[in-house]
Amino acid sequence: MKSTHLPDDGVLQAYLDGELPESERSLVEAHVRACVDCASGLDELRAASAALHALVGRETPARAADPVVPHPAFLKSRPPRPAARSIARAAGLVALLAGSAAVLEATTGWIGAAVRAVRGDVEAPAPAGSVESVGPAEDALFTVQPRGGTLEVILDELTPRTRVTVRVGDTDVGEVRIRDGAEGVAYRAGPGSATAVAPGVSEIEVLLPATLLSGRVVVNGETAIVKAADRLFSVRDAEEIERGFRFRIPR
Amino acid sequence: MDFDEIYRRHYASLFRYMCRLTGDVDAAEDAAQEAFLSLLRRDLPEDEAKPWLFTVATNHVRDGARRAETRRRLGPKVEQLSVPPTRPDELTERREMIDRVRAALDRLPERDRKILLLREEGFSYKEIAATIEVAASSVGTLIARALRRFAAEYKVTNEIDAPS
Repeated sequence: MKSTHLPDDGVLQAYLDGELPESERSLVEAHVRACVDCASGLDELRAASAALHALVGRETPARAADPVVPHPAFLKSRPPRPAARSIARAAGLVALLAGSAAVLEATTGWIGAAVRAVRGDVEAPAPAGSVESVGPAEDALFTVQPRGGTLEVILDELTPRTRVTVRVGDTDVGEVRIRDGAEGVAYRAGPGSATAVAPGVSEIEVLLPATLLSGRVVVNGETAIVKAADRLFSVRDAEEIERGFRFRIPR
Repeated sequence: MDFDEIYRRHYASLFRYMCRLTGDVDAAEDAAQEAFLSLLRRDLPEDEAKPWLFTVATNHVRDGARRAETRRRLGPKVEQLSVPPTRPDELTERREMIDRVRAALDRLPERDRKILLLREEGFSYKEIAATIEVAASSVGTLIARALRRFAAEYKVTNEIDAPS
């Protein structure tokens, strides 16, 4: 036996989503027990909801589906920095972080650093080379050195078709180019990106301006370097060289 | 407003939501970060900050799409090396399933897509209402309608793609 149907699917959906007060839940349950049509409607919505959840979950790239939650202490523990930025200091502030968690923590710092710079807070330099150790060295080589008004990132020992992208989060200019004389790929107004694909075993050069507040270098879809104001974060262990740092990433 | 706490609590959800909404991981990451940057210049209580972040990130992507369209019409100002990647591994069963889900989502009206994905992020009806600017009392009905549309679109996509 059934009485009048529920007014629309919205009540059934709210029931499924736990959005009804207890008194209304009881009414819906009593009605659905007696009404085949509404019970069927409830089953359909439940099935569609479960299917959507499963499908969307599988459709989501791993990088977004299960991102590491940034550690809130990272922002609070960051040593203060001066508002003015310089190449020398930027090169000296390479933080050595490990794995994907490090990338996201770096991203947290990126945001905080950029906004602090916008606000003009006065901060003191971070210690150079604060280190969190990482895994074994991999294949492709990165070298990061100051050059003129930019940070020069050289990637060598690349395999053919390695794709390197510089992504710029504000209005500064970043550039990525093949080093063997091919035309550069310049990016001139942000936010946006520029990409170069290694045609063979070759070097790719990325230039990050010292004044760039937020940017990153992405190799084959994986973030390798994050620039946050005058700090630079790598995802791999690095060794200090004469005027910069060198580290390796998987090719 | 405790920015760090809001960031820690909502960054992953916003990133994931934007990724699902746009199908573009990089665009999603940019939009999420831009939204948090904007939040730092404001002082919103957390219950307002959450729907605000999702709205701002969505607008950022939409504005970016408009700028891209304008650039396309005006001609390329940004020089790019055009060496398209070859990805034979994309022709897998998983890739096809992902494409079907993506296609079904893309064929939904924008509001339906948003409402379903916000619900996937655990938004309450009140939060969904604040984010997409509808009455809270109508959210259940809108979700049910969007779910039925998604189920129908996904079924159609499967039928189209199924080998004869």
